[in-house]
Amino acid sequence: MRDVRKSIVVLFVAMFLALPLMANELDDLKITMQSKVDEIMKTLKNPKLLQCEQDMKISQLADGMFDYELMAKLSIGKRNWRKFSASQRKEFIELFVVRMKESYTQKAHLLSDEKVTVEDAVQVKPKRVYLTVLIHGSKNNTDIKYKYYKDRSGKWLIYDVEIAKISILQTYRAQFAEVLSSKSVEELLHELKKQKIKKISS
Amino acid sequence: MKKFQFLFIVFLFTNITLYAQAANKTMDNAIESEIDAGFDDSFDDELSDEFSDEFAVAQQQEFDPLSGYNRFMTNFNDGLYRHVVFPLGRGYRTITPKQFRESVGNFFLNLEFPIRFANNLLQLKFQNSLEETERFLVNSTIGLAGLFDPASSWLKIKAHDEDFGQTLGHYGVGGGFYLVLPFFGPSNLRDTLSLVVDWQIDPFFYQEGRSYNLLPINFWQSIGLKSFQYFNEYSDNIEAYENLTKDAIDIYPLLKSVYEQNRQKEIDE
Repeated sequence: MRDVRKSIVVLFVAMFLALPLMANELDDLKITMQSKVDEIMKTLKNPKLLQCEQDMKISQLADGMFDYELMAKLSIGKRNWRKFSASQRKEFIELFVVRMKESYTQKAHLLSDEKVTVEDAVQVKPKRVYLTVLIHGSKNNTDIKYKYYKDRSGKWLIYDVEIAKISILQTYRAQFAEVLSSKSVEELLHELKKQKIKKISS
Repeated sequence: MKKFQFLFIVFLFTNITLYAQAANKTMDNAIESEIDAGFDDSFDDELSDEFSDEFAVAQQQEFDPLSGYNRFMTNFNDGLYRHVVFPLGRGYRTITPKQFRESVGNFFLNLEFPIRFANNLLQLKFQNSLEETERFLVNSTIGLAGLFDPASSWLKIKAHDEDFGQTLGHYGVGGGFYLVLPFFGPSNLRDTLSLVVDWQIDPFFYQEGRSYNLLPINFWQSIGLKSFQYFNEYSDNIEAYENLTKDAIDIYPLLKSVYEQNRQKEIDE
Protein backbone atom coordinates (compact mmCIF):
# COMPACT_ATOMS: atom_id res chain seq x y z
CA MET A 1 0.00 0.00 0.00
CA ARG A 2 2.77 2.31 0.95
CA ASP A 3 4.54 1.58 -2.27
CA VAL A 4 1.47 2.33 -4.31
CA ARG A 5 1.02 5.67 -2.60
CA LYS A 6 4.66 6.42 -3.06
CA SER A 7 4.59 5.65 -6.73
CA ILE A 8 1.52 7.81 -7.21
CA VAL A 9 3.30 10.71 -5.56
CA VAL A 10 6.34 10.11 -7.72
CA LEU A 11 4.12 10.01 -10.78
CA PHE A 12 2.52 13.34 -9.92
CA VAL A 13 5.83 14.99 -9.19
CA ALA A 14 7.18 13.67 -12.48
CA MET A 15 4.15 15.01 -14.32
CA PHE A 16 4.53 18.46 -12.83
CA LEU A 17 8.21 18.47 -13.61
CA ALA A 18 7.55 17.32 -17.14
CA LEU A 19 5.06 20.09 -17.92
CA PRO A 20 7.42 23.07 -17.72
CA LEU A 21 10.09 21.00 -19.42
CA MET A 22 7.78 20.42 -22.35
CA ALA A 23 6.96 24.12 -22.59
CA ASN A 24 10.65 24.90 -22.57
CA GLU A 25 11.30 22.48 -25.37
CA LEU A 26 8.63 24.14 -27.51
CA ASP A 27 10.07 27.57 -26.75
CA ASP A 28 13.50 26.32 -27.69
CA LEU A 29 12.25 25.15 -31.06
CA LYS A 30 10.70 28.54 -31.69
CA ILE A 31 13.83 30.40 -30.60
CA THR A 32 16.04 28.22 -32.79
CA MET A 33 13.75 28.74 -35.77
CA GLN A 34 13.68 32.50 -35.16
CA SER A 35 17.46 32.71 -35.06
CA LYS A 36 17.73 30.62 -38.24
CA VAL A 37 15.19 32.82 -40.02
CA ASP A 38 17.07 35.94 -38.88
CA GLU A 39 20.35 34.49 -40.13
CA ILE A 40 18.81 33.53 -43.48
CA MET A 41 17.34 37.01 -43.93
CA LYS A 42 20.68 38.58 -43.05
CA THR A 43 22.42 36.33 -45.55
CA LEU A 44 19.94 37.16 -48.30
CA LYS A 45 20.31 40.89 -47.68
CA ASN A 46 24.08 40.85 -47.56
CA PRO A 47 25.18 42.51 -50.82
CA LYS A 48 28.78 41.33 -50.44
CA LEU A 49 27.91 37.67 -50.84
CA LEU A 50 27.60 36.04 -54.25
CA GLN A 51 24.50 33.95 -54.83
CA CYS A 52 26.43 30.68 -54.55
CA GLU A 53 27.89 31.82 -51.24
CA GLN A 54 24.43 32.71 -50.02
CA ASP A 55 23.16 29.27 -51.07
CA MET A 56 25.97 27.58 -49.21
CA LYS A 57 25.29 29.55 -46.03
CA ILE A 58 21.54 28.87 -46.12
CA SER A 59 22.11 25.20 -46.76
CA GLN A 60 24.46 25.02 -43.76
CA LEU A 61 21.92 26.80 -41.57
CA ALA A 62 19.24 24.27 -42.49
CA ASP A 63 21.47 21.23 -42.06
CA GLY A 64 20.99 20.47 -38.39
CA MET A 65 17.25 20.98 -38.49
CA PHE A 66 16.09 18.44 -41.06
CA ASP A 67 16.19 14.67 -40.95
CA TYR A 68 16.83 14.38 -44.68
CA GLU A 69 17.39 10.65 -44.54
CA LEU A 70 14.02 9.96 -42.94
CA MET A 71 12.41 12.31 -45.48
CA ALA A 72 13.96 10.28 -48.27
CA LYS A 73 12.62 7.02 -46.83
CA LEU A 74 9.16 8.41 -46.17
CA SER A 75 8.94 9.82 -49.68
CA ILE A 76 9.29 6.29 -51.02
CA GLY A 77 7.14 4.56 -48.42
CA LYS A 78 7.72 1.27 -46.73
CA ARG A 79 6.30 -0.98 -49.41
CA ASN A 80 8.41 0.38 -52.25
CA TRP A 81 11.47 0.77 -50.03
CA ARG A 82 11.71 -3.03 -49.95
CA LYS A 83 12.30 -3.07 -53.69
CA PHE A 84 15.53 -1.10 -53.17
CA SER A 85 18.82 -2.93 -52.71
CA ALA A 86 21.26 -1.64 -50.08
CA SER A 87 23.32 0.27 -52.63
CA GLN A 88 20.20 1.65 -54.30
CA ARG A 89 18.97 2.89 -50.93
CA LYS A 90 22.23 4.67 -50.33
CA GLU A 91 22.22 6.21 -53.78
CA PHE A 92 18.60 7.31 -53.52
CA ILE A 93 19.14 8.97 -50.14
CA GLU A 94 22.11 10.89 -51.52
CA LEU A 95 20.19 12.07 -54.58
CA PHE A 96 17.14 13.01 -52.55
CA VAL A 97 19.14 14.97 -49.97
CA VAL A 98 20.86 17.03 -52.67
CA ARG A 99 17.49 17.70 -54.23
CA MET A 100 15.91 18.76 -50.93
CA LYS A 101 18.76 21.10 -50.07
CA GLU A 102 18.79 22.80 -53.46
CA SER A 103 15.05 23.16 -53.53
CA TYR A 104 15.08 24.61 -49.99
CA THR A 105 17.81 27.18 -50.65
CA GLN A 106 16.09 28.26 -53.86
CA LYS A 107 12.78 28.75 -52.10
CA ALA A 108 14.54 30.80 -49.43
CA HIS A 109 15.47 33.36 -52.08
CA LEU A 110 11.77 34.12 -52.56
CA LEU A 111 11.75 35.46 -49.00
CA SER A 112 14.28 38.22 -49.50
CA ASP A 113 11.76 41.07 -49.70
CA GLU A 114 9.15 39.70 -47.34
CA LYS A 115 8.36 40.09 -43.68
CA VAL A 116 8.59 36.77 -41.87
CA THR A 117 7.35 35.88 -38.40
CA VAL A 118 7.67 32.68 -36.38
CA GLU A 119 4.49 31.55 -34.60
CA ASP A 120 4.25 29.46 -31.44
CA ALA A 121 5.07 25.77 -31.70
CA VAL A 122 2.13 23.43 -31.20
CA GLN A 123 2.48 19.94 -29.82
CA VAL A 124 0.06 17.63 -31.62
CA LYS A 125 1.28 14.32 -30.19
CA PRO A 126 3.89 13.35 -27.59
CA LYS A 127 6.49 13.01 -30.32
CA ARG A 128 5.19 15.51 -32.90
CA VAL A 129 5.41 19.30 -32.92
CA TYR A 130 4.25 21.68 -35.66
CA LEU A 131 5.88 25.08 -35.98
CA THR A 132 4.39 27.66 -38.33
CA VAL A 133 6.31 30.43 -40.05
CA LEU A 134 4.22 33.19 -41.61
CA ILE A 135 5.23 35.11 -44.71
CA HIS A 136 3.34 38.37 -44.80
CA GLY A 137 2.32 39.24 -48.36
CA SER A 138 0.61 42.37 -49.61
CA LYS A 139 -2.75 40.64 -50.03
CA ASN A 140 -2.63 37.49 -47.96
CA ASN A 141 -0.20 35.59 -45.80
CA THR A 142 1.43 32.31 -46.71
CA ASP A 143 2.08 29.84 -43.94
CA ILE A 144 4.91 27.36 -43.88
CA LYS A 145 4.40 24.57 -41.40
CA TYR A 146 7.48 22.69 -40.22
CA LYS A 147 6.66 19.26 -38.81
CA TYR A 148 9.04 17.96 -36.17
CA TYR A 149 9.37 14.51 -34.65
CA LYS A 150 11.43 13.48 -31.66
CA ASP A 151 14.15 11.06 -32.61
CA ARG A 152 15.56 8.36 -30.36
CA SER A 153 18.22 10.60 -28.90
CA GLY A 154 15.50 13.08 -27.89
CA LYS A 155 16.34 15.60 -30.57
CA TRP A 156 13.56 17.37 -32.48
CA LEU A 157 14.03 17.12 -36.24
CA ILE A 158 11.93 18.21 -39.22
CA TYR A 159 10.45 15.39 -41.31
CA ASP A 160 8.00 17.33 -43.50
CA VAL A 161 7.27 20.88 -44.62
CA GLU A 162 3.85 22.15 -45.62
CA ILE A 163 3.72 25.25 -47.79
CA ALA A 164 0.21 26.75 -47.81
CA LYS A 165 -1.02 23.40 -46.43
CA ILE A 166 0.55 21.43 -49.29
CA SER A 167 2.86 18.79 -47.89
CA ILE A 168 6.15 18.46 -49.75
CA LEU A 169 6.42 14.85 -48.63
CA GLN A 170 2.97 13.92 -49.92
CA THR A 171 3.71 15.40 -53.34
CA TYR A 172 6.96 13.43 -53.59
CA ARG A 173 5.27 10.31 -52.29
CA ALA A 174 2.59 10.56 -54.96
CA GLN A 175 5.18 11.04 -57.68
CA PHE A 176 7.54 8.24 -56.62
CA ALA A 177 4.63 5.83 -56.20
CA GLU A 178 3.43 6.65 -59.71
CA VAL A 179 6.89 6.25 -61.25
CA LEU A 180 7.56 2.98 -59.41
CA SER A 181 4.19 1.55 -60.43
CA SER A 182 5.42 1.28 -64.01
CA LYS A 183 9.19 1.63 -63.82
CA SER A 184 12.06 -0.07 -61.98
CA VAL A 185 14.07 1.41 -59.12
CA GLU A 186 17.07 1.71 -61.45
CA GLU A 187 15.02 3.78 -63.90
CA LEU A 188 13.84 6.07 -61.09
CA LEU A 189 17.41 6.64 -59.93
CA HIS A 190 18.45 7.33 -63.51
CA GLU A 191 15.64 9.85 -63.87
CA LEU A 192 16.66 11.65 -60.67
CA LYS A 193 20.30 11.82 -61.69
CA LYS A 194 19.44 13.15 -65.12
CA GLN A 195 17.14 15.87 -63.84
CA LYS A 196 18.92 18.97 -62.67
CA ILE A 197 17.10 21.34 -60.35
CA LYS A 198 16.12 24.34 -62.45
CA LYS A 199 16.40 27.94 -61.38
CA ILE A 200 13.43 29.47 -59.66
CA SER A 201 11.45 32.23 -61.41
CA SER A 202 10.12 35.23 -59.58
CA MET B 1 -38.23 12.97 -62.34
CA LYS B 2 -35.59 15.61 -61.68
CA LYS B 3 -35.78 14.77 -58.01
CA PHE B 4 -34.93 11.16 -58.73
CA GLN B 5 -31.97 12.16 -60.86
CA PHE B 6 -30.69 14.26 -58.03
CA LEU B 7 -31.14 11.49 -55.49
CA PHE B 8 -29.39 9.07 -57.82
CA ILE B 9 -26.39 11.40 -58.13
CA VAL B 10 -26.25 11.80 -54.36
CA PHE B 11 -26.38 8.03 -53.95
CA LEU B 12 -23.60 7.59 -56.51
CA PHE B 13 -21.46 10.14 -54.68
CA THR B 14 -21.70 8.66 -51.27
CA ASN B 15 -20.67 5.25 -52.51
CA ILE B 16 -17.69 6.19 -54.59
CA THR B 17 -16.57 8.78 -52.17
CA LEU B 18 -16.54 6.70 -49.04
CA TYR B 19 -13.82 4.72 -50.72
CA ALA B 20 -11.90 7.81 -51.74
CA GLN B 21 -12.10 9.18 -48.24
CA ALA B 22 -10.76 6.02 -46.73
CA ALA B 23 -7.86 6.15 -49.16
CA ASN B 24 -7.12 9.74 -48.17
CA LYS B 25 -7.10 8.99 -44.47
CA THR B 26 -4.77 6.06 -44.88
CA MET B 27 -2.28 8.25 -46.70
CA ASP B 28 -1.67 10.40 -43.64
CA ASN B 29 -1.71 7.38 -41.38
CA ALA B 30 0.84 5.70 -43.59
CA ILE B 31 3.35 8.50 -43.09
CA GLU B 32 2.69 8.70 -39.37
CA SER B 33 3.07 4.99 -38.73
CA GLU B 34 6.19 4.83 -40.83
CA ILE B 35 7.84 7.55 -38.79
CA ASP B 36 7.01 5.59 -35.66
CA ALA B 37 8.40 2.50 -37.32
CA GLY B 38 11.52 4.51 -38.04
CA PHE B 39 12.12 4.91 -34.33
CA ASP B 40 13.14 1.32 -33.89
CA ASP B 41 14.85 1.19 -37.26
CA SER B 42 12.41 -1.39 -38.48
CA PHE B 43 11.97 0.70 -41.59
CA ASP B 44 14.71 -1.22 -43.30
CA ASP B 45 13.55 -4.48 -41.82
CA GLU B 46 11.96 -6.91 -44.23
CA LEU B 47 9.62 -8.27 -41.57
CA SER B 48 8.58 -5.00 -39.98
CA ASP B 49 5.13 -4.43 -38.57
CA GLU B 50 2.32 -5.43 -40.86
CA PHE B 51 0.15 -2.44 -40.10
CA SER B 52 1.83 0.35 -41.94
CA ASP B 53 2.27 -2.07 -44.82
CA GLU B 54 -1.46 -2.34 -45.18
CA PHE B 55 -1.75 1.42 -45.36
CA ALA B 56 0.93 1.60 -47.97
CA VAL B 57 -0.93 -0.93 -50.12
CA ALA B 58 -4.16 1.05 -49.85
CA GLN B 59 -2.35 4.13 -51.01
CA GLN B 60 -0.90 2.35 -54.02
CA GLN B 61 -4.25 1.27 -55.37
CA GLU B 62 -5.76 4.70 -55.39
CA PHE B 63 -8.97 4.85 -57.35
CA ASP B 64 -8.21 6.52 -60.69
CA PRO B 65 -10.31 4.90 -63.41
CA LEU B 66 -9.72 7.70 -65.91
CA SER B 67 -5.94 7.84 -65.49
CA GLY B 68 -5.32 7.47 -69.23
CA TYR B 69 -7.57 10.37 -70.17
CA ASN B 70 -6.47 12.40 -67.14
CA ARG B 71 -2.82 12.04 -68.00
CA PHE B 72 -3.45 13.12 -71.57
CA MET B 73 -5.47 16.13 -70.43
CA THR B 74 -2.83 17.13 -67.83
CA ASN B 75 -0.18 17.23 -70.56
CA PHE B 76 -2.54 19.05 -72.93
CA ASN B 77 -3.27 21.72 -70.33
CA ASP B 78 0.39 22.02 -69.37
CA GLY B 79 1.36 22.62 -73.02
CA LEU B 80 -1.49 25.07 -73.43
CA TYR B 81 -0.46 27.05 -70.35
CA ARG B 82 3.23 27.14 -71.23
CA HIS B 83 2.94 27.88 -74.93
CA VAL B 84 -0.25 29.94 -75.20
CA VAL B 85 -1.70 31.18 -71.90
CA PHE B 86 1.55 32.21 -70.17
CA PRO B 87 3.07 34.15 -73.10
CA LEU B 88 -0.27 35.93 -73.54
CA GLY B 89 -0.46 36.47 -69.77
CA ARG B 90 3.01 38.02 -69.68
CA GLY B 91 2.01 40.33 -72.53
CA TYR B 92 -1.20 41.23 -70.74
CA ARG B 93 0.81 41.97 -67.61
CA THR B 94 3.09 44.43 -69.40
CA ILE B 95 0.23 46.44 -70.88
CA THR B 96 -1.99 46.57 -67.78
CA PRO B 97 -1.14 48.07 -64.37
CA LYS B 98 -1.43 45.74 -61.37
CA GLN B 99 -4.25 47.85 -59.96
CA PHE B 100 -6.27 47.24 -63.13
CA ARG B 101 -5.87 43.46 -62.89
CA GLU B 102 -6.80 43.57 -59.23
CA SER B 103 -9.93 45.57 -59.97
CA VAL B 104 -10.98 43.13 -62.67
CA GLY B 105 -10.54 40.30 -60.16
CA ASN B 106 -12.47 42.23 -57.50
CA PHE B 107 -15.32 42.92 -59.90
CA PHE B 108 -15.84 39.24 -60.68
CA LEU B 109 -15.37 38.20 -57.06
CA ASN B 110 -18.00 40.68 -55.91
CA LEU B 111 -20.67 39.48 -58.32
CA GLU B 112 -20.06 35.87 -57.35
CA PHE B 113 -21.44 36.78 -53.96
CA PRO B 114 -24.57 34.56 -54.32
CA ILE B 115 -22.41 31.41 -54.59
CA ARG B 116 -20.44 32.16 -51.43
CA PHE B 117 -23.52 33.38 -49.56
CA ALA B 118 -25.60 30.30 -50.39
CA ASN B 119 -22.85 27.79 -49.67
CA ASN B 120 -21.89 29.36 -46.36
CA LEU B 121 -25.56 29.21 -45.46
CA LEU B 122 -25.84 25.57 -46.53
CA GLN B 123 -22.91 24.77 -44.23
CA LEU B 124 -24.66 26.66 -41.40
CA LYS B 125 -21.84 29.21 -41.29
CA PHE B 126 -24.22 32.05 -40.52
CA GLN B 127 -21.56 34.49 -39.40
CA ASN B 128 -19.75 34.03 -42.71
CA SER B 129 -22.96 34.53 -44.69
CA LEU B 130 -23.58 37.72 -42.80
CA GLU B 131 -20.05 38.94 -43.46
CA GLU B 132 -20.40 38.07 -47.15
CA THR B 133 -23.56 40.20 -47.26
CA GLU B 134 -21.75 43.09 -45.58
CA ARG B 135 -18.91 42.75 -48.06
CA PHE B 136 -21.32 42.77 -51.01
CA LEU B 137 -23.11 45.88 -49.78
CA VAL B 138 -19.94 47.79 -48.97
CA ASN B 139 -17.99 46.81 -52.09
CA SER B 140 -20.93 47.37 -54.47
CA THR B 141 -21.39 50.93 -53.22
CA ILE B 142 -18.27 52.43 -51.68
CA GLY B 143 -16.16 50.00 -53.70
CA LEU B 144 -17.61 51.38 -56.96
CA ALA B 145 -19.58 48.38 -58.24
CA GLY B 146 -17.04 45.97 -56.80
CA LEU B 147 -13.97 47.36 -58.59
CA PHE B 148 -12.36 47.96 -55.22
CA ASP B 149 -12.41 45.91 -52.04
CA PRO B 150 -12.73 48.37 -49.13
CA ALA B 151 -14.40 45.62 -47.07
CA SER B 152 -11.03 43.81 -46.92
CA SER B 153 -8.68 46.77 -46.79
CA TRP B 154 -10.60 49.08 -44.47
CA LEU B 155 -13.07 46.95 -42.54
CA LYS B 156 -10.87 43.83 -42.47
CA ILE B 157 -13.75 41.59 -43.50
CA LYS B 158 -12.27 38.84 -45.65
CA ALA B 159 -14.17 36.83 -48.25
CA HIS B 160 -15.24 33.32 -47.20
CA ASP B 161 -14.77 31.32 -50.32
CA GLU B 162 -17.19 28.41 -50.43
CA ASP B 163 -18.61 26.48 -53.36
CA PHE B 164 -21.02 23.56 -53.62
CA GLY B 165 -18.18 21.04 -53.85
CA GLN B 166 -16.92 22.28 -50.48
CA THR B 167 -20.46 22.15 -49.09
CA LEU B 168 -20.75 18.48 -50.04
CA GLY B 169 -17.26 17.88 -48.64
CA HIS B 170 -18.27 19.59 -45.42
CA TYR B 171 -21.04 17.01 -44.99
CA GLY B 172 -18.66 14.13 -45.57
CA VAL B 173 -19.08 13.57 -49.29
CA GLY B 174 -15.68 12.57 -50.65
CA GLY B 175 -14.23 13.66 -53.97
CA GLY B 176 -14.91 10.55 -56.02
CA PHE B 177 -12.43 9.84 -58.79
CA TYR B 178 -9.95 12.39 -60.09
CA LEU B 179 -10.95 14.25 -63.24
CA VAL B 180 -8.90 16.75 -65.23
CA LEU B 181 -10.99 19.33 -67.08
CA PRO B 182 -9.80 20.85 -70.35
CA PHE B 183 -8.42 24.40 -69.80
CA PHE B 184 -9.48 24.61 -66.15
CA GLY B 185 -7.28 21.79 -64.89
CA PRO B 186 -7.59 19.37 -61.94
CA SER B 187 -10.98 18.53 -60.48
CA ASN B 188 -12.85 15.45 -59.34
CA LEU B 189 -16.27 13.93 -59.81
CA ARG B 190 -17.84 15.77 -56.86
CA ASP B 191 -16.42 19.17 -57.71
CA THR B 192 -17.21 18.93 -61.43
CA LEU B 193 -20.87 18.02 -60.84
CA SER B 194 -21.03 20.73 -58.19
CA LEU B 195 -20.04 23.32 -60.77
CA VAL B 196 -23.41 22.78 -62.43
CA VAL B 197 -25.12 23.54 -59.13
CA ASP B 198 -23.10 26.72 -58.59
CA TRP B 199 -23.82 27.90 -62.13
CA GLN B 200 -27.52 28.09 -61.27
CA ILE B 201 -26.83 31.05 -59.01
CA ASP B 202 -23.75 32.43 -60.78
CA PRO B 203 -24.79 35.75 -62.38
CA PHE B 204 -22.14 35.30 -65.06
CA PHE B 205 -23.64 32.13 -66.42
CA TYR B 206 -26.34 32.35 -69.00
CA GLN B 207 -29.16 29.90 -68.43
CA GLU B 208 -31.92 29.49 -70.97
CA GLY B 209 -35.18 30.60 -69.41
CA ARG B 210 -33.70 31.90 -66.16
CA SER B 211 -35.36 35.10 -65.03
CA TYR B 212 -32.18 36.77 -63.78
CA ASN B 213 -29.57 36.47 -66.52
CA LEU B 214 -27.48 39.50 -65.74
CA LEU B 215 -24.84 40.27 -68.31
CA PRO B 216 -24.27 37.74 -71.09
CA ILE B 217 -26.81 37.18 -73.80
CA ASN B 218 -25.91 33.61 -74.63
CA PHE B 219 -23.99 30.64 -73.28
CA TRP B 220 -20.80 31.21 -75.28
CA GLN B 221 -20.49 34.77 -74.13
CA SER B 222 -20.62 33.64 -70.55
CA ILE B 223 -17.87 31.11 -71.30
CA GLY B 224 -15.81 33.90 -72.83
CA LEU B 225 -16.37 36.09 -69.81
CA LYS B 226 -15.42 33.30 -67.40
CA SER B 227 -12.30 32.55 -69.43
CA PHE B 228 -11.27 36.19 -69.19
CA GLN B 229 -11.76 36.08 -65.43
CA TYR B 230 -9.49 33.03 -65.16
CA PHE B 231 -6.97 34.48 -67.59
CA ASN B 232 -6.80 37.69 -65.57
CA GLU B 233 -6.21 35.70 -62.39
CA TYR B 234 -3.73 33.25 -63.92
CA SER B 235 -1.61 36.03 -65.41
CA ASP B 236 -0.46 36.97 -61.91
CA ASN B 237 0.17 33.35 -60.92
CA ILE B 238 2.39 32.22 -63.78
CA GLU B 239 5.49 31.96 -61.58
CA ALA B 240 3.63 30.02 -58.92
CA TYR B 241 2.74 27.34 -61.48
CA GLU B 242 6.25 27.30 -62.92
CA ASN B 243 7.88 26.99 -59.51
CA LEU B 244 5.49 24.26 -58.48
CA THR B 245 6.15 22.13 -61.55
CA LYS B 246 9.78 22.90 -62.29
CA ASP B 247 11.30 20.11 -60.18
CA ALA B 248 8.54 17.63 -60.91
CA ILE B 249 9.53 14.08 -61.62
CA ASP B 250 6.07 13.53 -63.08
CA ILE B 251 3.56 16.40 -63.18
CA TYR B 252 0.51 14.12 -63.30
CA PRO B 253 0.74 12.72 -59.73
CA LEU B 254 2.16 16.04 -58.53
CA LEU B 255 -0.78 18.17 -59.69
CA LYS B 256 -3.22 15.48 -58.57
CA SER B 257 -1.74 15.41 -55.06
CA VAL B 258 -1.68 19.21 -54.83
CA TYR B 259 -5.31 19.47 -55.95
CA GLU B 260 -6.50 16.88 -53.46
CA GLN B 261 -4.56 18.40 -50.56
CA ASN B 262 -5.75 21.88 -51.47
CA ARG B 263 -9.42 20.91 -51.64
CA GLN B 264 -9.12 19.10 -48.33
CA LYS B 265 -7.72 22.29 -46.80
CA GLU B 266 -10.56 24.39 -48.27
CA ILE B 267 -13.17 21.97 -46.97
CA ASP B 268 -11.63 21.89 -43.49
CA GLU B 269 -11.66 25.68 -43.24
